Amino acid sequence: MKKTNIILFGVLLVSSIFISACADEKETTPTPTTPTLYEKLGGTTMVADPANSGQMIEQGRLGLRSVVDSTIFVIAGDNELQPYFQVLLAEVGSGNVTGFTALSKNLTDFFCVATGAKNFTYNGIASMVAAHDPAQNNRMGLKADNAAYNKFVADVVAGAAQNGVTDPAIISELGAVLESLRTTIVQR
Amino acid sequence: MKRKILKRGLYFIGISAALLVGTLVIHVAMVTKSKNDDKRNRQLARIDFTEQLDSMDIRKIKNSVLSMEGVDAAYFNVDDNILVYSYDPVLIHSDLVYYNLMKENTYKAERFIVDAKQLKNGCPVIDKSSFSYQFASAVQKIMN
Repeated sequence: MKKTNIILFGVLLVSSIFISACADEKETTPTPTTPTLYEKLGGTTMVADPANSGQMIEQGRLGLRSVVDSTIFVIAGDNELQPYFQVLLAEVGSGNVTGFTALSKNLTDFFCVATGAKNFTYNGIASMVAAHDPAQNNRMGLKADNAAYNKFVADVVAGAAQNGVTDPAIISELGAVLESLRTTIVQR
Repeated sequence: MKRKILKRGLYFIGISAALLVGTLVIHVAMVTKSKNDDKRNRQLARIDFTEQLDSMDIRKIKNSVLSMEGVDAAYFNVDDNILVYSYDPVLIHSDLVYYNLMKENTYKAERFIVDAKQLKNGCPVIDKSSFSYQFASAVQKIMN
């Protein structure tokens, strides 16, 4: 009987640890902070998604996705960057996700997470360095240099401008996100 | 008697552990569930113009392409005379977009088509054959 009590006590202890681990998250008092870029772009306010009829989308995500989509158009029409993004213009068979759709989702997820969104995860690539190194990733034809990366940043700014995002403060924050990746992507 | 109590205790622990693990899995699934419900699947295509175009021509080209069912956005690089547009591959094919555009006008232009060799040098972000991409996609499908 004594053993049973010990076992039951053990089970209760483990259960309480699990429950308290979850409860701790809720009890944490949020400290006032300056709004993230995601919040400045509309944050978690739900709005109608113009690209998906009948669906709602967080305003912050919609803003970032619009910028990303426009940027992809600019890149696809940019002869200097096109060699890095051939797959964007490759036509896929029925039922397959296109390069545009996949990159749009990937980059939007990345920017959402990087600018402070809480409801999204970035499932893109495990390592930015490995993914942009031709020796480790055979889909990377050539190593990116600073000139190509500068062009990419310029195309993002052009994409943002096409969506009316010209506020220097917001552009500056977007630029900071991109600059944080430069050392991992530029490898020559 | 002792063995019976021990057996019951083990059952109890087993069931409790299974319930806790189950709760944990559901909790993790709910916390990590992506709210990205984008269902769009848009194909991108490009037409390179080999003649000089003015702003009227560019506007006309964009309007013409955008008026076709299935085409939803277009961008024109005025420096290099390149048209990029996106379309729903279920509704229209890029060959038809090009054909319709050329049928109405007499532009010197050609479709930009990526060949298999060029494709090998694609963007690493969407290496669909990679383990990490397939794993992430599989997990995402389960979560969503």
